[in-house]
Amino acid sequence: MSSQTLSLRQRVSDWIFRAREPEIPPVTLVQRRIFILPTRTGYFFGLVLILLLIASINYSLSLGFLLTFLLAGMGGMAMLHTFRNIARLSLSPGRVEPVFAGETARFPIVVANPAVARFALAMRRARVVAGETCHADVEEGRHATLVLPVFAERRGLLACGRLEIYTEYPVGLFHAWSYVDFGMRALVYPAPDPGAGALPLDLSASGDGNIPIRGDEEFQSLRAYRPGDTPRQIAWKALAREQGLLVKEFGATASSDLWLDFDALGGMPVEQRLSRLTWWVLEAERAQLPYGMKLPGLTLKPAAGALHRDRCLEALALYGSSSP
Amino acid sequence: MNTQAVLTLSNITWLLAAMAFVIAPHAARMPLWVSAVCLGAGAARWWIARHAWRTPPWWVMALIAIGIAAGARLEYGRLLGREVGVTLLIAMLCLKVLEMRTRRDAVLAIFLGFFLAMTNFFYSQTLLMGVYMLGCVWLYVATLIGFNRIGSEPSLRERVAPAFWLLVQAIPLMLVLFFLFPRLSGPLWRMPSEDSAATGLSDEMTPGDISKLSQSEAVVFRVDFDGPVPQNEDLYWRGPVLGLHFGRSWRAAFVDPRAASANLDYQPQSPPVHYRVTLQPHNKPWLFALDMPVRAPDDAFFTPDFQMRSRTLVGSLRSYPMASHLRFKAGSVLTSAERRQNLQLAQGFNPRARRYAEQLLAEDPDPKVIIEKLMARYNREFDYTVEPPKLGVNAVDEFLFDTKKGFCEHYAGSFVFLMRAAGIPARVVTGYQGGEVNPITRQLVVRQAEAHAWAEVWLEGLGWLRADPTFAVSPLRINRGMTAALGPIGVLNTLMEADGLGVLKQIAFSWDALNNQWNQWVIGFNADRQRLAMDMFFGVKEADWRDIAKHLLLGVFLVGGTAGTLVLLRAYRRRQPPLIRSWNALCEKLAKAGLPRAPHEAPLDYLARIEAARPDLAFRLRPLVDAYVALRYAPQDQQPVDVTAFGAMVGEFRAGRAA
Repeated sequence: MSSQTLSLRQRVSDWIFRAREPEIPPVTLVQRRIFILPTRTGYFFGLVLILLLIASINYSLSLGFLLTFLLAGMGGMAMLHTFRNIARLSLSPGRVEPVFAGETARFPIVVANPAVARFALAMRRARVVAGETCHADVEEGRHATLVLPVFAERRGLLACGRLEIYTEYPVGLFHAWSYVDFGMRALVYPAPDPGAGALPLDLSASGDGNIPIRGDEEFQSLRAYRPGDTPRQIAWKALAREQGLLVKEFGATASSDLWLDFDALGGMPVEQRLSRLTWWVLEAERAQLPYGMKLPGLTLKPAAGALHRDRCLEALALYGSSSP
Repeated sequence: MNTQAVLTLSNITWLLAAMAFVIAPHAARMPLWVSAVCLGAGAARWWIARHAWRTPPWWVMALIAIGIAAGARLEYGRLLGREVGVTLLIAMLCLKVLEMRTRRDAVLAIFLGFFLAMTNFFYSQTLLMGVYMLGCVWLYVATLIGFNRIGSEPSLRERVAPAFWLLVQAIPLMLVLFFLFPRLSGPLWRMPSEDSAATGLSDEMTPGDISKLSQSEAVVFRVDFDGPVPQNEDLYWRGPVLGLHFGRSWRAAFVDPRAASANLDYQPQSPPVHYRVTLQPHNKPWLFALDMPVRAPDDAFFTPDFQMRSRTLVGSLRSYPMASHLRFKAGSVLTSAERRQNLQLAQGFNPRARRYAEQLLAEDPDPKVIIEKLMARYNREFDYTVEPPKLGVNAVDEFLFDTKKGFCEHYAGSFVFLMRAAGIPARVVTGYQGGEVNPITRQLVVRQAEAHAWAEVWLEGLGWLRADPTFAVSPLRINRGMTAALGPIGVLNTLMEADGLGVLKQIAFSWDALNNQWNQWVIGFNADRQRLAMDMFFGVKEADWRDIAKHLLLGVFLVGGTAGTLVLLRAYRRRQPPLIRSWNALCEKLAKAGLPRAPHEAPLDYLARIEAARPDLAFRLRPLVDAYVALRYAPQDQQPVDVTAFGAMVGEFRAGRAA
């Protein structure tokens, strides 16, 4: 939900519940951050109490009065217990792993409990009506992680927005909740498109016609280490000879570098191009081929390795968006 | 929230158990088939949960529900009323639980369970029932907690302990509300009165009725005398007066409300005795007092035959002050209508008795002589027994000339029959005779076993005189009480008689004293008592509802605030994890043995130092320290024991003194 579509109701609720800018962790749920109201079950319980009271008065049942008032007292105490079940918890965001579009992003919140054990803590997105929920118990003096799954529909940055941490334990008569917003975002890569087919090993584009040989054991040359190179490629012996951090290159020659080019996929919609490029990045990485990527306004030099792959995927995910 | 996840086997088992406990006291009152249906539904629900089957479709449930309603209609003859209502509520709740699919259904079943707990109080409000229902509420709250745990299955302790604390913390608030919630003196609306099967005297007496009552140890009323308790033979507590003869039975005459009065017209011949009666609810109009009462309490009146009646049925505990003159002369004038009424006999019954009465009259027409002759005959030829033989249509004939064994109703009934046949106005009086003094409270306790029937005859110039033929047969019954006359009746009394040291008696009296307090302060707590309590505790005289409400608000605020603060403090008390606490406890124990741990010392260094200083401790201490180190630093899957087990090991560890 973007901020432009906020309804009046949400604005009012933001004002009442003190919507904050993304906060600096850890956030401790102090008394003024916690809200509590009866649940629907709680209102129904109130109705039950009134009926029990009327029956006690009408039949002058002294034990009926005792029962009614015991339950009323229990309801009052339940409010405190529900409040206590969430108070003083300390929240901090966990690491959000990137996902591909069509997968589920997981937003972890680490809940540290400095006091007595808490049960049935739950979490959901504050502005999403029928979204996913997650729950956890936290032992006395320990911590637990609430992991909220959110379906990643589109590529880009997926913000989980304001989160509602809530509980109705122990008897479900009251709903105590608090909002927290750490500005957590998941990076969503474009969904890989298997229709992209084999890697675009275009001979004419690569110049002198050398064909890169996949999986070739033959040692070609040494070059300086670049971030993202896998440790397997590092020339450890050269390092031992104090020649600096060098990387062995196999098979493919520098002249036969694989270029994944956005503009080469002319005639296709932008998203489909990005999906195909994503697929090729994964394929090239699987084949351990160095590859470069050309996007309008951005060129990533040929390389291989997880870091290079992540950099390419991030560029694809964020293509066209203003945010970094 | 995933609603299906909470309908687990254990949650459902808890719910079914709670329901079974709260329904159990009703089982004796319900038709057997309803109990069977409930048990069946419960068992089926459990089986469905066990095997994760689907619940039955709605039309099956509808058919069963219609079947139950039809069965109840047949059984009770109607579908409205308290008894049938409770039965239907129970049956329908069991069906609801059978088809329960969502968490909301389960919560509804739990809330209805609170109503079921309430329905038990229609039938019994004893201390035991109160404690039992408290247990049931505990079970229900524990069940509710189970339904509010998401994702993880609670342990037994995690259900029972929070429920216990919730209820314990609710008790102060409950007491404040109970004593300070403004009470009304009457019901909001009147329900059609229904005879609950309370045993006690009725306005009809057939031979065998009272001897049946004598088996019951139920308390009818308790009496606090201002002075000493009068002699047993003066303790005649008047109940229904039965003036109409119906062949086998005697019935009370219709009471004309216009003939009612607040005072009785008689001449006292002894100073009054002052006392207070606390009457258990019996759902009948009569109030009990010693013959002859001075004045009727508020909301009560006297009938012309000296009965004291309440204007409403006694449906709740009733306490009233009384004064009585034990010696008196009453009813000096008898109107012709009264004479006719007190000579009435049903036609065609007991020909032998009638002939015998005529024969007595022919021998000597003086009523006093006739009475004496009869009493002498009872004394000579008759036996007093609590198990009289069964009698046919001409009950008086059979009793007087064949069986000659009977209980008080046989003697009173036959005596009045003979009197009336001989032309002497007479009537049967039922009530209670005697009572037992509780040595702890100095209270007189009158039980159903003390039920009695006697006669009154009207003699010219003397008025109505009490004539108790039972006294002629068994003077002990009147002088010393039932047990003295007949030996112990019932199991409890037999045990008490066998108990030479009186221990059981002592327990019984203490129990009765406790019940009395319960009656005074819990069951009998009403608008009057509330005003009294306001005066006693807060010095507010003649408190109206506004004073009471003010104190209520203040009380709720104070008590609720205190309890709330204590509850919340627990969340704000910082506590170390259990592992660290156990380790600190271990270090504490070693410190007490003279080996304190230095702040900089790591566990293994500490162990090494202790092993050097106290070799005798080494083999016991090493596994503990190893366990701690593993729990603290080793990966989860390489831990030899869990934290709880470590805590237990620390608990068992004894350092002792250096050898």
